[in-house]
Parts: sequence; C-alpha cells; structure tokens
Amino acid sequence: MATMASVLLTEEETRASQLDDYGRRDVRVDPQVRAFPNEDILFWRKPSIDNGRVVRQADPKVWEACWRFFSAASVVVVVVVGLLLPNAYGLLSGIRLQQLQDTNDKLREEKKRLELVESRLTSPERLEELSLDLELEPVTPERVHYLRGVGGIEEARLDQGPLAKPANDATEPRP
Amino acid sequence: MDPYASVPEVRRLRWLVRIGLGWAALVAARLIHLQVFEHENFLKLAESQQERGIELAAPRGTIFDRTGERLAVSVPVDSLAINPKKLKDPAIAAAVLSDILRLDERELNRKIREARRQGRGFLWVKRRLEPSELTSLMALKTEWMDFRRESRREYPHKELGAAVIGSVNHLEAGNSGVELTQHRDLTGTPGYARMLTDVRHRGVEVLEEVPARPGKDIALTIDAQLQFHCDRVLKQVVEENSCHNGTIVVMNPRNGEVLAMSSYPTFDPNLPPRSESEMKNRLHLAVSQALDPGSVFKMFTIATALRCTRLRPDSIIPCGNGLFRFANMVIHDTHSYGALPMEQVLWHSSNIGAINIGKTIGIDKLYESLHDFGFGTKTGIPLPGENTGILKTPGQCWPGSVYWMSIGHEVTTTTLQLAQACSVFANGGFRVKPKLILWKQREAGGRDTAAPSERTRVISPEIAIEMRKMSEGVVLYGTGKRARVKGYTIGGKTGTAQTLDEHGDYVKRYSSTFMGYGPVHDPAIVAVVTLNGSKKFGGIVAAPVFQNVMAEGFRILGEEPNLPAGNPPKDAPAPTAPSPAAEQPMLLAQAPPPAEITNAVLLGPKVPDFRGMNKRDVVKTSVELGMPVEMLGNGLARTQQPPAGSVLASGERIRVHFAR
Repeated sequence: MATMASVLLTEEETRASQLDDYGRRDVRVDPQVRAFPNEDILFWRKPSIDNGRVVRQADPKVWEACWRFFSAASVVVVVVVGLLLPNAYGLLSGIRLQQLQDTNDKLREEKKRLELVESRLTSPERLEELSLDLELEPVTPERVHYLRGVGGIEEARLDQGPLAKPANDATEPRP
Repeated sequence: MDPYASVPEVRRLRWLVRIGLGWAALVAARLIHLQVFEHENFLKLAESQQERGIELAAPRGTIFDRTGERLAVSVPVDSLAINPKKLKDPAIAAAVLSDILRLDERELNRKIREARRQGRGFLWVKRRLEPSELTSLMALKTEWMDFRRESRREYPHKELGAAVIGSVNHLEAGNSGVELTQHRDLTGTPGYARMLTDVRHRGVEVLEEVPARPGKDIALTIDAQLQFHCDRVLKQVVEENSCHNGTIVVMNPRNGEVLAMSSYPTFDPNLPPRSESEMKNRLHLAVSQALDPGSVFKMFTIATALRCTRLRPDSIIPCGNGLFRFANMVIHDTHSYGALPMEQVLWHSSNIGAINIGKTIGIDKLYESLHDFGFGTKTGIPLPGENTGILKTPGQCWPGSVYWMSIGHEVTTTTLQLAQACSVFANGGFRVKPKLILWKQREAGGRDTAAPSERTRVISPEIAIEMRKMSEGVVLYGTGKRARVKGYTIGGKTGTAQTLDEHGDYVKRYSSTFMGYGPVHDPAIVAVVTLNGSKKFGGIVAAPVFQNVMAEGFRILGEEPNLPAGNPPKDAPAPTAPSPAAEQPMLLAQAPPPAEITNAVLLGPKVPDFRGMNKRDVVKTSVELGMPVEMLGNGLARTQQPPAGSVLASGERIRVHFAR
C-alpha cells in the first residue's frame, strides 16, 4: 500500500514528501493526490500513515480455508496411499519372494556341485592314491580279524593275539 | 454487449484461455486415442516388456551305487549366447571372447558376421562353460551377452563301472549302458513359467506355471568299492598277459543282485566318443561278447547227468586213456586216465570222461537241461547289446554235437549267463534272473525297490549240494588250486577254450575262464572271470584273479570265514582207483582224504536219518540220541555224512547239510 501511494506521486511531490529530521514525511506539503485523467474524483491522502499500531490479525476465513484444504489433502493422500500401498507391498513381496526362490535354486545348484566335488574326493581311486602317498598299508583280507567266530574260530581275547597287552606293560588301568 | 470486450487486457486474457482450452483438448484427444484406440497394441507391448517366459529345467536323475555313492550326476552349468545385432564391433567381441574361452578368433568372427548378415539375433558361442570362464565373462557386463542355464553330466569316478553306467551325448541323452536303457526314467520333463517382471527384469509374480518334473534317481546293485577292485585287477591281468579283453561278474546267487561287473578295455564316460567304432566299444563285454566256455561247461553236463540219468558222483566213467576218436575227430585229455569216478572227471577236467557222460545223457536231454540253466536266452539285464549266445537245438545238431557240447564247444555263452547258471548250484537249485537296479525314485518322493528277481527251479537241492561238493574238489585237488581263498571253502571250475582267428583256424590263444562261489556250504558270492585271447590256461591265469576278487568280496561284504585259521592241504592225493560208494565229506579241508576214512575203525551207535527235518527237529533228535551234529546251511536237511544207518565212529560228528 505505501508503495502504491509513492507511485502515484509526481516528482515534486515526491521531493516534497521527503522525510523530516525525525524520519517522518511532512504532510504539510499539498496532501491532495494527483487526480486521475478525465476523472472528477479527487483523492486526498492522510498527512501521515502510522502503521506502528497496526496489528496483523488472523483472518478466520483464511484459517478455515487452510484447514479445509489441509484436511482434504490429507484425506486424498490417505486414500491414495491406502489404495496403492497393498499393491506396492505386493510388488515388493513378489520381488522378495522371487529373490528367495532364486537364492534357493542357486543353493540347490551349489549343493549339487559340492556333492560332485565330494564324490570326486572320496572316490576309491583317489583314496588309494592318497594311501600310497601317505605310505599306508593296503587293506587285505588277511588283516581283517573277526571278533565273533563261526566255523570254529576262537573269539579274540585281550590276553591273546594282536590285541594282547605286553606282559611288562606298566600302564595304570583306567579308573 | 460485453462491457469488457474492448479492454485489451481482458481480450488478451480471453485469448490466453482459448489457447489453453485448445491445448487441453488436444491432450484429451491424444489421451483418448492412446487409451481407447491403441489400447490393445500398448497392452501387448506392456506384456512383452513386463512379462517373461522361462523354461524350468528338469535335471537328469542321479545314478547311485548300492551304498549311496554317486556314480553319475548332472550339475547346472551356464552356456554363452550373443545377440549379433547388438554388437557394435564384431571383431572386438570376437577377440575378447576367443581370448577368454580359448576359441579360434577368426572362426568366431566369421560366424558373428554371418549371423549379422542373416539378421539373426541369437548365436551360440560356447556351451557348458567352466566356472572360471563364466566369472570372466560376467565381469564384462555387456548387453549383447546372454547366459543360458543348461546341464552337464559328470561321472566323478571316471572309468569305474563305465560300461555298466554308460554315458550321454551332448544333448544329455543316454547312448550306452544304464544311461541308455533307463533314459526315460532318468530324463525329466522341463516346465514353463510366465512371470511378471519389474524394470530390472526381476521376477515379481508368477502368472502361470507348469512345474518341471525332475528325472528319477536310480540306485544300482553295484558296490563301488568291489567294482573298483575288479576293474583294477582285470586291467592288470589283461595287460600283463596281453589278452584281447577280459570280463568279471560278481553276483549274489540268492537274489540275483550283480555286485560288480567289469569289462576291459574300458573308457572314461566324461569324454565323448571320437568315432562310431569307439561307441561300439562301450558295450559291456560280459553281456555282449559270447565265447566258447570250454571246460566250465562240464559242471552243467554233470549236473544234467545227476538230473536225468542214474549216474552218481561215484559212478565210474571210462576216460579212454586220454584219447577219443569220433568220425575224423581226435580229442585228447591233458592227463591220461583209464576210468574215473564222475566227481573226479570234474576235478581233473577229463574231456573224454565228460564226453562219455554227455553220450549217456543224449542230445535232447542235454539241450533241455542247458536251456533250463539259461543258456541260449537273454538274461534280461538292463544293458544294451545283450547277446543270447549260441545253443543249438537238437534239430540243428550233428551226431558229434553232443560230444562237443559236453565239453563246452559248439556252444557260446556270455560271462553273465555263466554267472546266472553257476548261481543255480550256489542257491540250492534256482535260476535267478540277474538284477542291476536296486531302487528307483518315485515321482511323489520315496523309493520304489525293484521287485525280487524271478526264480525258476532247475535242479533239486540235493543235486545242488552234490555239485557244490564236487566243485570244491576241483579247488582242493583238481585244476583250480589257485582259486583257494584262505579261511573260506571255495568251489568252482576252470575252463580253457581255444579261440579262432579271423580265418576260422584255431590259434594258440585261449578263452580262459574260472567260475565259482564260496563259502561252499551256503554261498554268498558267485564270481566268473573270463580272459579272451590269453596264452595261458584258465587254472593258471583266471583262477588267481577269481581268488583275488572273492577275497576282496568277502571282506567288503563282511562275510566271515568258515574255516579255522590255517590253509587246507596244499598237495592233494593222486587220483585213486575208483573208490567204493562211500560219500565224500563236504568240507574236505577239515576231513582226511578219502582213503583214510575207509580205513577207520567204526564203533558207536547207528546214525539216524535226518533228511527232510528242519533244524529244530535235528537238534532235538541229536540231543535225545547224544550224537554231536554240525549243521550247515539253511532250510531242510538234504544230505548228511555219515549216511543214515551207518555207525558213528568215536569222536566223529554228523554233518547235516540244509538247503531250501
């Protein structure tokens, strides 16, 4: 508003309306505002407009309008989210499910590869090569002792045969 | 009249509104065009972008041995294909790919250019990549590379049982062995899924799915450890003796399960065959190769004599002093004998004795009996290329055929047929069909155990026991001494048949065989070893292999020894004059030679007749009479030593043999 008034002033009036020593406009200079062309309506301005005591008061209608807008917007957001959320959730769940299934498939494939590696490592040929490298004695039928006999074979006794303790063994018996 | 019409600002404002409305109308029209008229087209475009069809691979079933050891496994592998249309520079792509995949760069470049010229959007570069190659290729992250998931068949034990397991071609279709005969069960059915994907082509939802049906897992009756041992022993003996080839069959005579089946030469199923002839060599010789069995056939001749004639093990058979003439044929014996008890004809493998036995039987009964033993027909084992062998019908024979057939000539058999026939003696008289499949996986889960093998009665249990007794004499006193296994009673027969060259002339090469079983009182294992093109006799070269295989078989299967520690007598007594009709003891290793028994002073009560009783009745009777009894085998009492009515010597035990 103040700027509108200064736009309507002429140069003279502008100079005349310079601030006095106290920073106030001198209204003793012609208070009449320049008339509109071809108009008979004249305007006078107030000598001074002191907006120092103007207090901005809330417009209740604007307040209401704002709250109405906010409420409506909230409702719209809730409705939209409510409609889209299950879809989005389903989408994310679907992605997660597929990822888990892919992981499951990859783990199964990995398991198969590991089973194959295990079979190679435990093959009789490899075990035999290892036993030769480690200079182990080969398993021959003569080295197998059956503890329960048929056909008249004696039971293996701890005081006889390959399991017998030496006579001079001073080992303490286990408690 | 619009008072504001002349106001320039109002006019400008109105034009602005008109332009705005016009623009909105255009937008609305475009919207309607896209949403209504182009709806179907865009729907299809959206589907093609958002939906993806995926083939669900069906892995091939795994082949196990009887202990669960994996013999053949399919593992998923990636294969590389490219889109030639998306390549900016084929030469650079060819250079990069050939470096990583070790391919010919020029050839690859030519293929890519050819594909581009033809407008193709798909080109295989390499199938079944190695893991290192895959890692290097995926690191490139290019849009023109496409990885497809495939399957590769792996045989982790390489040559072990290769002829039994077989192999597959590049399409994973079986082309030999069990892989071929069980191809339908091993192969699954691929499935299909249509998925909704996001912008990154990640699956979001499965719209449609036809599940894949994986192939069935199959377990064989083979024991991998025993198979490995047989393969190794066979390879060694064939190479050392420069034989053409060799086979070993180890079988459970009670249920027909084949525990090991070796064939040499063999192959690595991981490597594809390089020629058609190499493919033919992948047949298992134990079922596809039929040879003259030679003297092993005498066991069947003698069994037929026991079955169809009045001849008994102690019947005296003339042996012509080692010479037999018929028409223009002359047949010799290795050692000359005037006459021998029938059991000693088997011990010493007298050709002339066997010929005279065959003459007594006659060609009709001999053919019928041999046919009952399974010769001349397929065993039905699930391996390709099975040979029936040759067994002439009486109508196809000439007068001399009965002589030749009695000694294992003019007839051809496979090693598996010999094992099946030998099992008849081992299991108390039944011909049991050989079985190779232990179980198959069910579609719904669980396992389908193979049905018990068919059993057909061929000879009576008494004859089976008599044959086992006689065959034990072969190992103790006859030509099969090298087949003895320490701690076990073994029965069997050697065989040596001269082979023919391509012109049909006999050469100094033999088909050397040893066929046998153990322990004699209740055999758990039957084994047959055949070496084709050997320069040595069966008793020299095949019997030691049999001994090795049986010893290892007993150990692996946990069959406990049935003899006390210490070997049976090494040197057998020379063949005596035909002995009186006193039955020979079954366990000759524990009993003194026949001459000592006839000289023994017999004191004591009379032995009752236990024949036909079950074990409980035998124990009850023996306890009541206070007579010590040793019971061997299972089932009903069939034979006994000493026989019923004879006097039991002091300190002697009655041995009663049971069979089902």
